[in-house]
Amino acid sequence: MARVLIIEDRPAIAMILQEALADEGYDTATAPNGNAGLERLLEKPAPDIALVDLFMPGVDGRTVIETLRSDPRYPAIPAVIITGAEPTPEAFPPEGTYQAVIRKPFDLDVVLSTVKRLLQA
Amino acid sequence: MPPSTSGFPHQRCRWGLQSKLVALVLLVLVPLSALTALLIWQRFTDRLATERRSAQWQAENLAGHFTAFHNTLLSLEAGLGGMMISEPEHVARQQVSQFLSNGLATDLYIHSLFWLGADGRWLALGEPAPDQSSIEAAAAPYLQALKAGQDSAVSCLIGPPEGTRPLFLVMKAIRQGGVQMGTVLAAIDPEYIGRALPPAEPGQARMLIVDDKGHIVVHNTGRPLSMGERRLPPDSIARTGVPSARTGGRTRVEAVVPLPAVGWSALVDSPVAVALAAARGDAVKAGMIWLAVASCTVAGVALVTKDTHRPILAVQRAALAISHGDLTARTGETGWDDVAMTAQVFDHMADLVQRAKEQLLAESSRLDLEQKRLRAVLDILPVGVFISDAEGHMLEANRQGLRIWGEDVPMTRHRSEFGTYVAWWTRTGELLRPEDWAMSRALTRGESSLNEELDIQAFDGIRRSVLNSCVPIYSETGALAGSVAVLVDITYRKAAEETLRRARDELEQRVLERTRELAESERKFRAIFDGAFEFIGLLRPDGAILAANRSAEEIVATPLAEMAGVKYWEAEWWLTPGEEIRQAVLQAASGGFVRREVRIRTATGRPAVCDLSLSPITDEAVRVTQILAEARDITELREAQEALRERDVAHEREHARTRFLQLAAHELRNPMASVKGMLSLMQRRHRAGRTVGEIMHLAEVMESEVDRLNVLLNQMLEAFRLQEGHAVLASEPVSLAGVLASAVRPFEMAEEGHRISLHVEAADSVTVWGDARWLDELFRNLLGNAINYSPAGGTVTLTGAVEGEVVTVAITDQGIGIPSDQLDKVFEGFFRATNLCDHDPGGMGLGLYICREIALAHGGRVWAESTVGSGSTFYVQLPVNLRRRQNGARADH
Repeated sequence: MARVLIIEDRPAIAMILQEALADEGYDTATAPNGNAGLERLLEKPAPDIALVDLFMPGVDGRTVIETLRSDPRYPAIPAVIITGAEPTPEAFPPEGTYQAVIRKPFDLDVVLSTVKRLLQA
Repeated sequence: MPPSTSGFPHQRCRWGLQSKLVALVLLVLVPLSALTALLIWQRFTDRLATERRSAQWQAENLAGHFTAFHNTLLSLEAGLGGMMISEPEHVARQQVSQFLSNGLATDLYIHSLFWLGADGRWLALGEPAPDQSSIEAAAAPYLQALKAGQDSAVSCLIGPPEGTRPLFLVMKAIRQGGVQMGTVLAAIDPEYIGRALPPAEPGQARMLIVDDKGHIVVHNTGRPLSMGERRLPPDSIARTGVPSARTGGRTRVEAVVPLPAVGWSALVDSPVAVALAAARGDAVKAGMIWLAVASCTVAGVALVTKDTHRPILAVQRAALAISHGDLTARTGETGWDDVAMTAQVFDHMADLVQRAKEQLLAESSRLDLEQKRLRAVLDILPVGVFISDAEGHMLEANRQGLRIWGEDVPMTRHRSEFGTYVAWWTRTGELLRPEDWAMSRALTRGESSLNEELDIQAFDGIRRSVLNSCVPIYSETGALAGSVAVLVDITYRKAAEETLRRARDELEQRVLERTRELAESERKFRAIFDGAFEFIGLLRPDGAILAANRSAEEIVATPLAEMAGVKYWEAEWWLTPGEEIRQAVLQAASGGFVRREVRIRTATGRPAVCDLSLSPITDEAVRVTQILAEARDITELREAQEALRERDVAHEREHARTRFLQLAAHELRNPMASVKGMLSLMQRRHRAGRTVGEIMHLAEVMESEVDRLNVLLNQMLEAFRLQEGHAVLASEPVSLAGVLASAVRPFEMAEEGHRISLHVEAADSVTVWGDARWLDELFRNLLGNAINYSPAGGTVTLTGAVEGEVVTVAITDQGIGIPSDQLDKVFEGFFRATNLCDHDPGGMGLGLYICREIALAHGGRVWAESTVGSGSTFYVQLPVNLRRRQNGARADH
C-alpha cells in the first residue's frame, strides 16, 4: 500500500490526517517539523506522497518543498500543501513545485480524494 | 653533454701523438736504413776496386816476371849462339853441355835446346827432344821471320790436343856482321813456370799467361791442363782486351797486362764472390748496428710516448670538457716531468678560469641589479631623461621622458637624425636644426647646457614647453662616451603663470570696480539685514551684543539700544538655560560653527522653537573678530513634524494590528481544522461501523483542542485589550520585590527540576507605579518561558538593578538561545524561533507579545539578548517611583 508522509507541527492535526489515511489503508509516517520531514523523506522505502504544512518552527514547509525539488537525493514524489495561511509569495514555494493546496480547516474527503488522485496519476 | 657550437674536434685526431711518434721512428729508421745500405754498397764497391787493383798489380807482377824470364833466356841463347859460331862444333857442344849442366836449363825450364846453323842443319844441344820433327814444323813460320831480319821470336803453345805437356819455342837469331850465322831454339815447358807461381785456391784469383792464339801458357791452378782446357773463350778479355758478360764482367774481376816483346798477355782472373764475401761481413755488422739503433729508437719513443701521451690525453679530455662548459673538469696529474707539469699548469689555469667565471657571473648579476636600480630611479624621476652614446644613438629614455615626447618616440641612431625631434626656441620661435640640440652640441663640442627653454612638437600631437639640459659623459680615458639630457615639462607651469598674470590684471580691475560696488552693497546689505525674516545679530567674541536686525528687535520687543552690550546668554528671552547658550557662544568664539535648537519666549509670551546658528567671522589672521548669530522660528515646522510622527505611529499600529489579525486567523484555523477534521473522521468511522471506543477517543482530543482554542482566544483578547489601551490597569505603588516573589512562587512549588535564583538589588526600596496583577503576569510569563526552554535541572537567574530612574530586571536561562536576527521578532505575536524544532513546548506564540504590551502599558520596555546554545536573557525595564500621568503615556519603542 502507498506510503504517506505527514509533515505537520500541530500534533492534533497530524493525528487526524494519520488516522484518516490509516482508515483508508495507507501506510503513514509523521514528522513534527521541516528538519524531521527532510530526514524521513530520505528513508527507505521512500514515501509515495508528502503532505506538508507551511508554518513550522525551524525549517518551514516552503524550504522542505524547495529542497525536495532541487536536491537530486530526494525522491520525485507529489507534494500537497496543507495550510491556514494566505497564499503569499513569501510563504509559498514557487508555482509548479507542489501538486495541490488544501486550506485549513480542511475537508477530510478532499484530503483523501486528493491523495488518491495524485497517487493514481 | 651535447657538442658545443665551437668547432672543437670531439673525436680523436687522425694524426694523433702516437701517429706522430711512429712517423718520428720512421724518420729515424728510414734514413738510417738508407745510410746503412749505402755504406754496405760503398764497402762492396771499395772491396771490388781493391780486388781490381790487386788483380792489376798481380798481372803486372806476372808480366814483369815473364819478361825477365824471356830476357834471361834470350841472353842465354845469345851466349850459346856465340859459342856455336866461334868454336868448332865439338868444342862448342862440350861447352854447351857444360854450361847446361850448371843447372841453368833447369832454372829456365828448358825442355830441349837446338842450334840451327846457317846451312839449315838442326843440331840438338843437350838431350835431344823426343819429337824434333813437330818442333821443326812449329818453328818454321817463326824462322822465316828471323830470316827476314827479326832478332828473336816466340812461338805459340804447341803440343798434341790431348797432351798435357805442351811447349813453346823461344828463338834467337845469331848474327855476326849483320849476317845470320844461325839460330838458337829453346823449347820451354810452361808447366814448370806455373808451378813457381803461388797456387790459386778455389774461389781465389787465377794467374795466367796467354799466347797470341788464346791458349793459356802459364797458370797457377796446380794441376796439368789439356790443350782443350787451355783454350780461352774467344771473347775473353785476354783476347779482346774488354771484359765480357760471359767471362765475368759482373761476376769476375780480370786484369790484363800485354807482353809486347812476345805479343802475349798476362791475365789475372778473380771471382767477384771474394769481394762479396768480404762485403757480406760488413753488411752483417752494419745490420746489427742498424738493429741496435732501431731497437733503441723504438724503445725510447715508446717510453717517451707512455710518459707523455697520458698527461696530454688528460689535458685534451679536460680541455674538451671545459670547452663544452664543464669548468670543473681537471687532468688530476701529479707527476714531476714537463708534460705533467704542463697538465698541472692547465689545472691551475682551469681553476683560474672557473673562479673568473664565478666572479664574472657575480659581477654580471650585480651589474644587472645596478641596471634595474638605475631604471627604477630613472622611471620614478619627475623629469625626462635621455641617454645617448657618443654617436647620438639613443640608448635609454625614462618613462617621464617618453611621456613628455608623447609615448611613441622614435629613438635616433645618430645625431644627424635629431631632425626627427621637432622643437622651437621659445624666445625667438626659430626651428631647431639637428646641430642646434643641446645633445648634439654636447657630443660634437663637449658643451654642457642648462635649462634651455624650448617648445616641442610631441609625437602625440601636443605642443609642450620644456627646459632642456644636457651634459657630455666622458669615459675613464677621457674620451667622449655619450651624453645625458634632462627634460622638464613646464607646460602647466607656464600656463599657470599666464593665468596668474591675467588673474592679477583682472583683480586690479575688479578691485577698482568692487570699491565702487562696495558702497552700493553696504546700502543694500543694510536693507537686507533689516528686512530679513530671520533674527540676525552680531556678537563680540566675549558674547556682548553688537547689532541686531529689525526682525530680532520685533520678536523680543527689545530695541537694539537696550540690548547692545548685554551678554548674549544673559538676555531675558531665553527659555533654554543660559549656560547652554554661553557654551555655544564660547565654542563659536574659539572658531567653531554651532547649530542647535533653542526655545525662547516671544514678546507676546508665546514660547517658540528656534533654529540657532553661531558662525565665527575671522580676520586675515584667522582670529575670530565677531560672531554672527542667526535664529529662525521653526515652531510651526516642529508642530507639523510632531503631527506627522504621530500619524506614522498610528499607521504602524494599524498595520501591526492587521498583521496580528492575519496571524491570529491562521493560528485559529489550526484548532478549528483539528476540530473539523475530528468531527469528519468521527462521522466516517460511525458510517463505517467502527467501535464507540475508536470514535470517542477522538472526542477527547477534540475537547483538549477546544480548550486550547479557548485559551488562545482569551490570550488574544487580553493582548488586544492591552494594545488598544482598553485593559483596566490599576495605578498604585507596587513593591517590585513583592511582585517578583509572587511571580516565582508557583514555579518553586511546581518545578522541582529547576533551580530559580532570585537576586534583586535594593528590591525592598524599589516601588513601581502600576497594576500588580499585570506585572505579576509579565514576570510569570517570562519565568515560564525561561523554565520551559531550559534543560531539566538548569538554573534560571532573576536579578534586578536600579540605575537612575529605572529598574532593570533580567531573567536568564540556560536554554537553546535565540538567533540574533530573531531577537526583535520574538516579541511579535505568534512568532516561534527557527531553532525550536526539537524543543518546542507548544506555546501559543502570544506570551512574549503580552509581556511587551504590559511593559509598554507601564511606560517601560522589554528586550532580549541571547547566545545560541548557551541561553538567553530577557530584560524588563520599568520607571521607578514614577507615577504615571495617564494611562496612554506609553513609552513607545
